[in-house]
Amino acid sequence: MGPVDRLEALSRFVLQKTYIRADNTIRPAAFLPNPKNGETSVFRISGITDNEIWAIGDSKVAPKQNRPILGRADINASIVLSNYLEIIPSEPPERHADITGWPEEKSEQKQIALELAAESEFHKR
Amino acid sequence: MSTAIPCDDFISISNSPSMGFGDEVGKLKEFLKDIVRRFGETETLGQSDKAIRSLDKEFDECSVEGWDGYDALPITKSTYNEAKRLIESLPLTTFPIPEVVPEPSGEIGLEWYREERQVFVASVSGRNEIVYAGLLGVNKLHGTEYFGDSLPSVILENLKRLYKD
Repeated sequence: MGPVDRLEALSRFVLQKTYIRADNTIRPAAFLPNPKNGETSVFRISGITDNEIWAIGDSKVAPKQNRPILGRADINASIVLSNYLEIIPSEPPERHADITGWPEEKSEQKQIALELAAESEFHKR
Repeated sequence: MSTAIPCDDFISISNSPSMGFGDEVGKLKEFLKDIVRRFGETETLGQSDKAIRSLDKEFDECSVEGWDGYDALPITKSTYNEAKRLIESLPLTTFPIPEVVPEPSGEIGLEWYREERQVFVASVSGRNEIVYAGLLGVNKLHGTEYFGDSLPSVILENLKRLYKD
């Protein structure tokens, strides 16, 4: 797939129960970057069905850690970009991308993660 | 007959500075610890015990690498100890008990959440500092504060803003 358009939708798959609040919203920690590479792994979900989205999580994300997908947080690419982050296609697997460009300062990362969580829509499995 | 007196300033009791020298300072610290422990046994002030039990659970589950299903770093004992100290320093008679949320970088966050855009997070990583961020309506805030003997006033101020009505 080509560069990510700002009108695309992205999904962040969640495997950790503490990232999900009791009211079925997502906590900011779910969006914080991977400490090993400074990126947040997402999938591009525009143009595919709900079942196809879950199938990506089940086949490409869950097996890696041998843990079930608990849900997913969907967010518009425009929200990510408006927080001065970048979305870089990173295939394989198909439709995979990384949110990059996180600031070095931890408190800034948290603030952006709060914003992404507030603007995302959580879907419980 | 006894009269109930509200204690809304637990922080000044539970968070007293520990600077000083000599045997007497040690005795005073133990005495103060005992007072704080007894306060913690009361119904309202015992809230911190609930948060610490939650912290214990998260520490058990998240002290191995990759606990989040991605590449999260393990939560270390020093981070656990600092998170416990942070919880114990909070005036939980004034503010609700926070949720304990482990973070991918091995930090432990405390989250106070009212709704999507009324939320405040403060986290520690065993380095004597508190990293915080919040969304208070249209206002966004973040920063880092030294966490010495007492809870930084900016944390309290932001919690007051979050729960002002």
